[in-house]
Amino acid sequence: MGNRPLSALQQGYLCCRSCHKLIPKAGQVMRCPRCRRKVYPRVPYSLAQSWALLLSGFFLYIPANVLPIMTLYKGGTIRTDTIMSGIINLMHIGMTPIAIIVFIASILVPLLKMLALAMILLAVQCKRQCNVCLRTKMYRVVEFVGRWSMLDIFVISILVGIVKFGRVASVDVEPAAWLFACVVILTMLAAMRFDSRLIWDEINEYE
Amino acid sequence: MLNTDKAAHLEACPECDLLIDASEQVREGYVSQCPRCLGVLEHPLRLSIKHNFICVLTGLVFYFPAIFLPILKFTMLGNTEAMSIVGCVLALFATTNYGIAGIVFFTLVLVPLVKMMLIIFVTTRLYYSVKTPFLAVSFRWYNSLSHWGMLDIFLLGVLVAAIKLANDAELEPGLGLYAFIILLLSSALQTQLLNKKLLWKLIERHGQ
Ligand SMILES: [Zn+2]
Repeated sequence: MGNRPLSALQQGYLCCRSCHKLIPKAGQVMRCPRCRRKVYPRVPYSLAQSWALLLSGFFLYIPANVLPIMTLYKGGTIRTDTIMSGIINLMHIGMTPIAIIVFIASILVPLLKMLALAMILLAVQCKRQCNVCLRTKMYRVVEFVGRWSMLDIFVISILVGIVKFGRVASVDVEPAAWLFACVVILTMLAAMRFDSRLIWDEINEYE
Repeated sequence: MLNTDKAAHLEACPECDLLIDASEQVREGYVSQCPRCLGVLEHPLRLSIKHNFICVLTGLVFYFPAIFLPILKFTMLGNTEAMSIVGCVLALFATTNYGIAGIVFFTLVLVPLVKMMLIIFVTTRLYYSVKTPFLAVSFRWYNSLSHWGMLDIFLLGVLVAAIKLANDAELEPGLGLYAFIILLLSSALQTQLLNKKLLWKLIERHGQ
């Protein structure tokens, strides 16, 4: 193959991001003839916007984990839980498999996802040329797995929905629930704003 | 640079922007991957427009029972209470958790319904080859909303919540749960097996 340019962009074509139509590059601002969307060589400000969303998500992640997420009044007892103490409580009542699922969805996934995305963004910023395949795989996993962190928010909503009349028990949603939901949404947006084609832009040859 | 009849077969990998000659790299009826990043370009497991439409229609029929009927019934100290998705949103709203109520409403009520309406609009128009405006816009909206539907995660949430409450109360699945599972399956099947490439080609042919 040698050093022939490989990407569509280097050979004078743009690929529409929403419908994937290949369009010969002409002029400055173009619209996709198929879906009428503006077509750019790469998503504009993709890196800067991803960083901004990712960092705001990261700063919210700390209070979201330290502050209590809900309070449960049940038969005269009051329990205030953070995400972690809720998981430990699940283990105490003998539900280790469910505790592991909640741990993966609420703690491990957001943390690893933010780390992975930060590594991908950093590598693009430093124009690294090794491990591109690995980074593409990482990005696919990050994109797929991000939504599942909403699990805890739905569990709290279901608990609120069940005990709504407060006759026998009641649930109070604490501020960390809202913070945590914001973390999930911000990191999902960060992954969506990132243009995965940037990972490959420094690569001009393959065997 | 490249002559025109070769250019007609050109495609760019949406994930890594490698320029690909589709006549060499993409074979119909096989899984074809981008030779560089291994992203899937074409998959043989796709629903036809008709089957896709049937799938969405099934989802739409079970949507309303899934949203309004109780998903879990909960008995504690002689009191029975029922939880439905709409009930959840209303309870969150009543307890002034507007943000969480908004998220639940958006991801479980609004997105699935709007997605089904949009894809029904697009597939029926394309099936009968009616020239209609807004086809491309509708399909674009359908694709962007796909990220935000969270029916599958809610089902896992029901399981976790049920286990959290199992020690203190008697739980019973409601009719809504069965409707919800059918809605979830039809929506997952329809979204995963949608032939987007074919739909975009048809939209291009039938204008706007
Ligand atoms: Zn387009």
